[in-house]
Amino acid sequence: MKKVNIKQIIRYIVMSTIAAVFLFPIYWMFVSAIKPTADIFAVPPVFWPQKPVWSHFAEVFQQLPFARWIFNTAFVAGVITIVALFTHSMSAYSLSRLRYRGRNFMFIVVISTLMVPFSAVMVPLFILVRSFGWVNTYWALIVPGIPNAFGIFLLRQFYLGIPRELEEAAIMDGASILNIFFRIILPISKPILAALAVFFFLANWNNFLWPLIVINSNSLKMIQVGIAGYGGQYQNPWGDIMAADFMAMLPTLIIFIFLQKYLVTSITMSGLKE
Amino acid sequence: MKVRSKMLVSVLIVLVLTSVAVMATTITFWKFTDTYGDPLIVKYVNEWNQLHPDMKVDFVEIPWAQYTTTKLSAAFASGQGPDIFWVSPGDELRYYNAGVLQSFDKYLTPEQINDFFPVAREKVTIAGHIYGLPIELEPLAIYYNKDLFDQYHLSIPQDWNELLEDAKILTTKNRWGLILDPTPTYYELFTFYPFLWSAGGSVVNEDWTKSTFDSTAAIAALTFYQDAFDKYKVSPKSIPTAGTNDISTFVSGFGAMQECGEWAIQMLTVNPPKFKWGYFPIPPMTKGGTSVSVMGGWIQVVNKNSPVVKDAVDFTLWLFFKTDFEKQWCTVQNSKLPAYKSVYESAKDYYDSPIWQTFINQILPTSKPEPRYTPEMDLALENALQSVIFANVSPAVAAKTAAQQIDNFLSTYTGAH
Amino acid sequence: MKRKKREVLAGWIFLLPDLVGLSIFVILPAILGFNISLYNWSGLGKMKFAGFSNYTKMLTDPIFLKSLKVTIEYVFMFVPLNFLLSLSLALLIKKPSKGITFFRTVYFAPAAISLVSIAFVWSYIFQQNGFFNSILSIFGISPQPLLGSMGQALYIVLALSLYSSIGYFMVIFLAGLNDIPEEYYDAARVDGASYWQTFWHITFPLLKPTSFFVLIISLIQGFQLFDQVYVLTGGGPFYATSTVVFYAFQTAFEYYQFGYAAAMDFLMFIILVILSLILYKILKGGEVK
Repeated sequence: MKKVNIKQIIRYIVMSTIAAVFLFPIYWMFVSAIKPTADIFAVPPVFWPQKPVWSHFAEVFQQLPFARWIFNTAFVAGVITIVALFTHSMSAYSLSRLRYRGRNFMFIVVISTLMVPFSAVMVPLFILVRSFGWVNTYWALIVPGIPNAFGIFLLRQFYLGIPRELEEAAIMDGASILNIFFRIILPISKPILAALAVFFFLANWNNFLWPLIVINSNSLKMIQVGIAGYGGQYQNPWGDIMAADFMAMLPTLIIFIFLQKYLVTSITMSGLKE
Repeated sequence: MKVRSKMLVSVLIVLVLTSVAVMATTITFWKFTDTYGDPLIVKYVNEWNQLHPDMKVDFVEIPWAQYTTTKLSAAFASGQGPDIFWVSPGDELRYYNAGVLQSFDKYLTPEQINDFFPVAREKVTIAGHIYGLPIELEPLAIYYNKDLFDQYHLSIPQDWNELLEDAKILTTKNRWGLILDPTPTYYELFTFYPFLWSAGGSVVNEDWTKSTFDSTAAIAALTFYQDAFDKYKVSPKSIPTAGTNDISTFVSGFGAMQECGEWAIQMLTVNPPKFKWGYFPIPPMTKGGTSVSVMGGWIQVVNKNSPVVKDAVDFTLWLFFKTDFEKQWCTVQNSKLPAYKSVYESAKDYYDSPIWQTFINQILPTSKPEPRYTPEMDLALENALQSVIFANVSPAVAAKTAAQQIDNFLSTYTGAH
Repeated sequence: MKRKKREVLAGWIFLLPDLVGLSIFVILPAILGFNISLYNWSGLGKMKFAGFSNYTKMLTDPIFLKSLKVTIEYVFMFVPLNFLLSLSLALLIKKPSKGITFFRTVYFAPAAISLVSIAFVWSYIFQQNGFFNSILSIFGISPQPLLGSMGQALYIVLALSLYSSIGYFMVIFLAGLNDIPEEYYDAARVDGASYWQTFWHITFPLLKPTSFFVLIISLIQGFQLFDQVYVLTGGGPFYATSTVVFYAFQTAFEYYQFGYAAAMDFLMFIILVILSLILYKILKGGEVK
């Protein structure tokens, strides 16, 4: 009994140390948001300003259409996440559990799309999207963001690990492929779908280059492009930038806190088997 | 291969057709963001739009760091740029060579042309024609911490040697003596030209047939950089901000001196540091020599291929000659030198303030406009600088290598200069 | 219809939506991009056909060769470190206990911060008179040039990448670990297996699909390192952190040689496909036998 406790104590010490290292940059971001300019790059560093400037947080909302950008980003990220989770689990199911000729080849084609550097396709993709008349619309932000081999690949790897027995029992009972997909595969995919939802949301939340290229009007901007507009050639109001970045980070963390419990719900075969 | 090219071409055609259809009724105007400066432009754009409901200006602000190198490049590369945009002198040549710039010759009256400061006129003139309107003049100087200078009994350095000696005295464990730009960017080159020129050096000869960079002057300027960064370690090789065009490193006391432009005055006034500050001209190489600064500043240009080119020119002329924009831009929203004599005269009160006198009386008269080289030439120069700062390459070798690269490039270059 | 036939049909139908999307928004632009690599093009005006000269140019371009070296060096450090650290974190916080939600969230948080602000913090920590050197001085180590040094800058970029990606891959491993049925562990516990025995005989083999995924993805991320370089070092000092994808981006958008940049990107693509195919063969696509 005593041994277990010591182990637990060590585990907590290790976890806390790592947490401190991980938190420090975030703390620094936060504290920079409340520093006057004269303290920002001071050496030796100022750990807590004598006169904290709290106004930067409010300024972000006053000076820029911050709320509008948050809405745009949440909308785009949300739509992409929902649609992509659905189409990707279909593709992944096809690439892992259904047997047909050319499946492995298609898998390789799909993941090879991950290997194309974005900067290489940026200009051609822009030409294409413009020919659809999508520049400066939500379409340009949403539609090209849906097909993404990352999600297909992750789900496929997950489905590979599902024991065959689960499906076979259902097939014996005469379940159709659709039935198996909706009744068996999707329900036990909760942990990975939760992980993927977090990833998609995060990736789109922090997306920068593509929204920068296709959106011109202020009212359609995504949050990261909007924040990047802070400052200018000669001055970087670091306090405002850090305050904006700090607040822009929160929605993703909230989604994570909400979904993280699904990440760790173990599947038990016994419940499904009989 | 042919099929693919055709595909690209047809996509391009579709794009041109759609763009014409979309562009017919508005003038798009692109510029990098200036959180505190842009409201002024917005104000004048709104004013124009009320006067011209049938030909509105659509003003688009683009994050500074991605303006030139990502957004503008991608837009033109995919076949459609904005109708009006701001371009830096270094970039102007590229757009000129590609036939994108609309000449302003026939739209400007002799009085208007005469109103340009000579250095501003030189900046917008390519092959004898005027392309676009200059927005501001931006000379460089060295800002210094007066309190520290008093404390160590230092006087304003009169040559490079004194500058280095002062920097050595001012450098401590927690402070750098002199902040120069170490980042591998075009801005680093911009801040290097005053040293190159003050030593009497140049990059290329008058008719662009041969590089003149392999010279004792260029080697001296490169040696100064190597001494500051590497030998005496009085300049930081990395800075905790995007570039030294941001004065906040100096304000924080990170460095005792910093090379920066006249735009810093505004920031130093609005967010004053905890110490007294001043600035002095970048000293000449040796005592009694000439100090030559570089004169930057953006240019508002019009896209020649725009379907509303005439209106775009009209708006540009209106903004600079019919409104108070230039004066407000230079004296209220920013602290800049105007490109126009009349604006300078009308803002005499502002420029009579003591803080402007060194810029106006000492730096401006000997400044040269920011040169416009091609990206290939800039790259060669940037490599020379980076290699003496970081790779311990001898300045003589670096100058020679850069000169060779530039010569190689010039041997096949057919564009303007 | 027979079940087998139905499976073939369903296979293609299920794949169709994404396949169409990928074809239009990735494959087609990639082909157009490859086409650009056969031309000299400044991004403005006419394209001049150049055959494969953009490809041969790479062999004699010292900056490209340097960038290739930097990229490979980085991949060799990033892939294994990222794998080990994120798996360790996942194992550390897998078991529910008091306050575990807090730790999970903290470990994931760096992945949620925009790179611009981490870069801001990073350049403050790793400048010559920053925190990192203060910590070194406690151990009696003299100040290092860090970001201002050609020898050390890449490690700082690596630290930045790891900081923002470990928590991300930790989540993937967490999901993968939970994919392993609890019964296997129960059986091992009955047999009196130690923690390490359980890890090597149950966890690790059954984690193969996840591991394959993490390896491939981190390999791709490693080879395509761009964002961290873009925000932190701009490829400097003197190309010490210039990766191929970053150099290609600069070549296109700063030096305006779009054809040459496309050629570099395409070469990177080929290298990645070959490496991934090798991994695929070795790990059999990560399928558990």
